[in-house]
Amino acid sequence: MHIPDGYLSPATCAVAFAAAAPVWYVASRKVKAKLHTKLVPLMAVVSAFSFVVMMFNLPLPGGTTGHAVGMGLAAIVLGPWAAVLSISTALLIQAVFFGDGGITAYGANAFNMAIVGTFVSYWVYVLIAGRSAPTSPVRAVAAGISGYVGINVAAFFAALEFGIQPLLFVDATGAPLYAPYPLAIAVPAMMAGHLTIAGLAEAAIGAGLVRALQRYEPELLGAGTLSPSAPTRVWWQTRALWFGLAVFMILSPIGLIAGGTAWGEWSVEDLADPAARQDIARASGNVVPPATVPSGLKALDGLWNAPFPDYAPTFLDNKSVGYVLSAVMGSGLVLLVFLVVGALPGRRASTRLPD
Amino acid sequence: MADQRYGICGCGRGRRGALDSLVLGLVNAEAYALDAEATATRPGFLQSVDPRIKVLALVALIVATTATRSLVVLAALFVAAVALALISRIGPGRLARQVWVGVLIFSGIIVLPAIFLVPGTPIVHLPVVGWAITLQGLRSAAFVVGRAETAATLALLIVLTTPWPHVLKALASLGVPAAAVAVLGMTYRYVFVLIEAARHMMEARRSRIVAPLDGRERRRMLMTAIGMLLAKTFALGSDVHAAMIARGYRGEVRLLHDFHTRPPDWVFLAIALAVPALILGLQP
Amino acid sequence: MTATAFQFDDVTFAYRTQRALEGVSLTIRSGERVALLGANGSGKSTLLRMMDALCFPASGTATAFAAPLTEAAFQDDATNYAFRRRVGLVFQNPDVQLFNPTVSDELAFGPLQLGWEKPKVRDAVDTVSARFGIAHLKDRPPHRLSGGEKKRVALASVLITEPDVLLLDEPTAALDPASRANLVGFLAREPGAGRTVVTATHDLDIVEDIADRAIVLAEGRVVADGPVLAVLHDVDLLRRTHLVFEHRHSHGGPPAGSHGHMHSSRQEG
Repeated sequence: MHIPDGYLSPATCAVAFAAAAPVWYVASRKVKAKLHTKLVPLMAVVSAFSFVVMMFNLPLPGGTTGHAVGMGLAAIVLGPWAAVLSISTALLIQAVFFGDGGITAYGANAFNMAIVGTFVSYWVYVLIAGRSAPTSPVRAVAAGISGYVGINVAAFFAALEFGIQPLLFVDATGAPLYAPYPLAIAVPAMMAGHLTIAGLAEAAIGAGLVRALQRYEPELLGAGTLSPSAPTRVWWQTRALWFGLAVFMILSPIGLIAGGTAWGEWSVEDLADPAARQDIARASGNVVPPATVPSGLKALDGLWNAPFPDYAPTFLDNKSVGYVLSAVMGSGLVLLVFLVVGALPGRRASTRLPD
Repeated sequence: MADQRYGICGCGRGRRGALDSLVLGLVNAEAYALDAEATATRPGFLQSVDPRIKVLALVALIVATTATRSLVVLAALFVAAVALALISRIGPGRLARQVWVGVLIFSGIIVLPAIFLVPGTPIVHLPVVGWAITLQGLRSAAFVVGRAETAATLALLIVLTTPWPHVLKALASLGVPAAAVAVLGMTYRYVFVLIEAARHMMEARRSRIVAPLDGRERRRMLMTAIGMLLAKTFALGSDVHAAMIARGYRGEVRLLHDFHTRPPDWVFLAIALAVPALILGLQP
Repeated sequence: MTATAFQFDDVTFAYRTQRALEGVSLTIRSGERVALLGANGSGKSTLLRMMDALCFPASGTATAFAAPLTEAAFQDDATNYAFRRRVGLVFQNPDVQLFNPTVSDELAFGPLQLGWEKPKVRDAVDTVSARFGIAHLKDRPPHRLSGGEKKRVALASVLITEPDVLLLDEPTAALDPASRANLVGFLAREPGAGRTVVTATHDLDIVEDIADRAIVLAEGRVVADGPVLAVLHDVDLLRRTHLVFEHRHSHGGPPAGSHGHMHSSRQEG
């Protein structure tokens, strides 16, 4: 899921950086208040750990192997804000030093994995773990599921970013300039691998790590991380954030539709062609893309259009302008949401960090 | 040392046993870093450029690589990247080994279907199956592979010509907050401590295994190892914090850095910044 | 009459539920060279950390230079800086002690944190690296140093601020014999006159060289306190506290067969 350089257009990369920047800003503000605690070294070692854990390829049922990112764990132990910075750090070292993930695509990778993946994981974990005791098996299950959901949502975002490239960026001959597959191919191809292999690895490692924590460092799961009333509070306080992200998710494709690109049709033809389907299948790890996807997406297309009936065709003919506008709207919303969340009294909004 | 590859995460790499490939991966990461550190301190053009200028300039060239809409310009950028490597005493053999082959395989597999899937003017029909390769498909595959190769080559040049501590100090003097730079530095530092710990753990385990393990046993063993690594991680975190406090840390990180730019540094930066500016400016 | 560096009265401390120190009372005067002896888990590392104000008594009182060692007192920046300027601790694990990207950053960390001016920090880094013979390592990252080099850098990074008190935790752990001899020679002469040196160790062979007074800890209590030689000659005490063990082995061949004698445990497990 580490997007290399060259797959995303500079505009997409810029938007991704723009979307990540406010989150980094708020996260560093939150973290700054905790710098005298052991947070700095803890963030460093957790990000080093997540880096090393990615090298562990876990044998999975069916004879394949997969590795985890460990973003769920970082969120559980550090709280989501510090985890955002921690995973971003690991991603930066991977990009710059080891070449995993591009430098221009760093913003996108950080947005998908360090921000979306981390927050989604954290939220799912808190929701399921609820008020269970720190040593309860529920916590391990919660960690497993949260890792699974987190990595899949992150993969979905990566697929969206890939998928919008050929719709927006083509050269004079009509050849895609960046990632060549439209949403209808990019999304199923990406999700096939993550719903199965990568998701399972993340789930297994997430659950296993929480079990290990319960054995070695239970206090990191205990009062230090989640106060008894934390689950509902965290959900309540971050609800605006989730709402904002959902809006952002929905708005981006609206930008495309606004541009008048009939992205559903593109894929219908491809998926109806057996040869093409075989190739997609080969590219996506032998999972045949469902022929029904486009119709489903088409249905959604209508859904997305519904709330803004006049928005699309009237004042936006240029698809790039439409895309950029919706992205700006989306990131503006996210920014707004983060600023609102950030403006809440620090002690309430921040999740507890180990002192 | 055979596989010090830059780029692309390890998913599904190789068909060795999970344990062997893990140990090999850990060893390779260490060897790769050692090798990069050695190259970075050898004399050469990029090695002599001020780290801040170099980071900015190479990132500008990477942006140019992703921004261009012309395959000719892309090819020229690739040649420029190779030329920069050569005058920095990094040979093409090494680039091929560490970047080109790996990126070609990774990106090649991803974009290969595109030459059939992208709709457009058919130029060749495959015999037997009759699939059409389209001009547009071929061009898009060339764009992706070309960009990925060029960008990865330029990114590798940063690493191979700049000792990591200089990258950190460059970031600090470019305005990245000291705390963030400290976390980056400590992360890098403890990546190697944890890699070494993991390697020792796995080697000890491997030496005790007599019969081959089935998937579930291997999984359980790896999970135990990861759990122990996690415990070590947290112990390290607490102890490092104590060591920082013991030397006066109170929540504010202070850094020492003294870089001095020379006129040639600025010329290099100006050229490097002009490239993406020209590309973006001249593009329709 | 010399000043008192540390004064502990009936101090207790526990990690989670595990007792680490139990009713510890002792006085260390300025300029003394003291060895804290004890097996693993005897509480000597905890005591050392308390002397460095990294943990604080759960009950009882502890003072350093007549100022109280309490968490509340160390909330104050001025108190904290004053203390950190006077007391330095070298951790056992060099991976913990050396957390900076390069050796020169490591040396500069303490002075920078204590608010020294940058030119002064640079001068101090140059002076101390020459004095410790590590000038050629200045640009190296810590993971490219040998065990002996790491120890020297760790010592230099603490002594660069010239603290009055040097606390050492297992300084010879995991060193090869040559580096160990080198370090002991250094510790015997370098800290110099007037500096208080407290060394926690179970390496009995080095104690005579680096300390004049020995305090033996067992299960968190002080069980002996006296001149080094008197303590080292009390074999019963050392055996009771697991600092030595009887080792039976055979010298091959002739009639005498096997014999027993005492060994100290040198290396940390």
